[in-house]
Amino acid sequence: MATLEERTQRLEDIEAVRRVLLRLGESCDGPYDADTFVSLMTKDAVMDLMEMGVYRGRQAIHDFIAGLREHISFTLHYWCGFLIDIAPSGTEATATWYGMETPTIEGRAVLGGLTHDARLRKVEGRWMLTHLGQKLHFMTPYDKGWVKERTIPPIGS
Amino acid sequence: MGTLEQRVQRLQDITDIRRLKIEYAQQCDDNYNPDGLTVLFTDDAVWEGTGLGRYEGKQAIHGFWTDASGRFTFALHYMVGDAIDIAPSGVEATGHWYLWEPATIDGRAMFVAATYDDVYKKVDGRWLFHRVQAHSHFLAPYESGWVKVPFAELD
Amino acid sequence: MASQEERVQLLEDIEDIRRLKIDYAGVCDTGYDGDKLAAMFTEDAIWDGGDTFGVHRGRAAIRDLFNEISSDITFALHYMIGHTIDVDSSGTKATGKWYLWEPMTYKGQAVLGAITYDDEYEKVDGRWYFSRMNVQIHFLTPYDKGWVKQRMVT
Repeated sequence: MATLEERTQRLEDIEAVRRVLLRLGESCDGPYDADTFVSLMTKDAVMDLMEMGVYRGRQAIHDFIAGLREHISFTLHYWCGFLIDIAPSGTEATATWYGMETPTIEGRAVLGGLTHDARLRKVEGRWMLTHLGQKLHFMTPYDKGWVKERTIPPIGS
Repeated sequence: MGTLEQRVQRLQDITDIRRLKIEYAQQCDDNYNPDGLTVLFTDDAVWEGTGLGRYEGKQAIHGFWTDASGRFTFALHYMVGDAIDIAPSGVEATGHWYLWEPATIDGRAMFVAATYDDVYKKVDGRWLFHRVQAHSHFLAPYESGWVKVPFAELD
Repeated sequence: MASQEERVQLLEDIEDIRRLKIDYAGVCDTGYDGDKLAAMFTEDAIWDGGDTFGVHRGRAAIRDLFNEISSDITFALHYMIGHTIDVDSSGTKATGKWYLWEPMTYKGQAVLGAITYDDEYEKVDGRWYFSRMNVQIHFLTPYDKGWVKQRMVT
């Protein structure tokens, strides 16, 4: 059985990881803030967006996020349903969560439904992402719905 | 870093404030119950919302909710993504939230998207809203969506 | 005033119950596996879906319900939001309220669901289970209609 100190530490880590993830989501609202986004990631972090590409390292991730600005003029990231597991080491964690998004892409209202996953590492007392993944369930024009048009064409195409 | 006692207290405070906000949502969804909402605020609280006005003190806030309860025949407040910070004093805190709200206003289906910046105060051991600042991002008729009509004309 | 041990235990219980609900959402969203979902309920649990989905008593009935639902709902995302969880003084019973936002594909059409839950939980052998789930449906509207024109899909 863990000590009270260890149990408290675990609850604190869960809350700290949740805050890092929320900060990541918030950095994508309004103008995409690529600097904040990559500041939450380790140097060698990998972002795997499946059909939207795989980006390795801070620079590649930064360029992709900054590039979204010219296509997405507005969005809100509603992130919820976090499941966060702190490894017994206390320095590694995994997380999954749900995301709903309301972006305006190329002047069009779009409704997004996604699930995300991440791996994190505690570096000098600070949780940082080493991996960020997503599964796109729909990214539908608001006036269509996900049965008529599940996803819009990839951004920039 | 704080003593174990202080650390547990902080986690408990975050849990209590999260609950305060959800109780606020539940009262809003109970046809904007003016009494149920007003007791969640400090005496000198301020509620402010873009396009909705500024209400200072319990009486003004009560009046605002009474008006709302006549216009909204249905609403669900999905309060998401809370980031709550407890001040070192342990009796003040701030919170950031997202709101997703399907609502029926003046008989029309609407989607409301907002974010909140809140200030909380602990009074006699209980967390209360001291300041609520609601930023509306859109209040769009269901049929049009937020690009065609970001803010619906209300009567 | 509760001891530090009791206070940490309460925070852990709230987190465990929160996880139970999100786990439930996750299984619903990956094909409604009836066995996996039934295993999250106590033996004599009740799933009460009101007039729309009916009352289902016991693990076997709950399993059958979900196995059946999966043929009608071919896609869903359960956004479980806004929990208030109360653990009673025994530490083995709890109640919870939740909001659910659910975009889904129901019998081939896009549907938006707005639901709230009143749950009851029981801790058995150190693990939390649902002992009762009350499902209140506010709307299940066809996406191309909206809840004012058509509150419930047919």
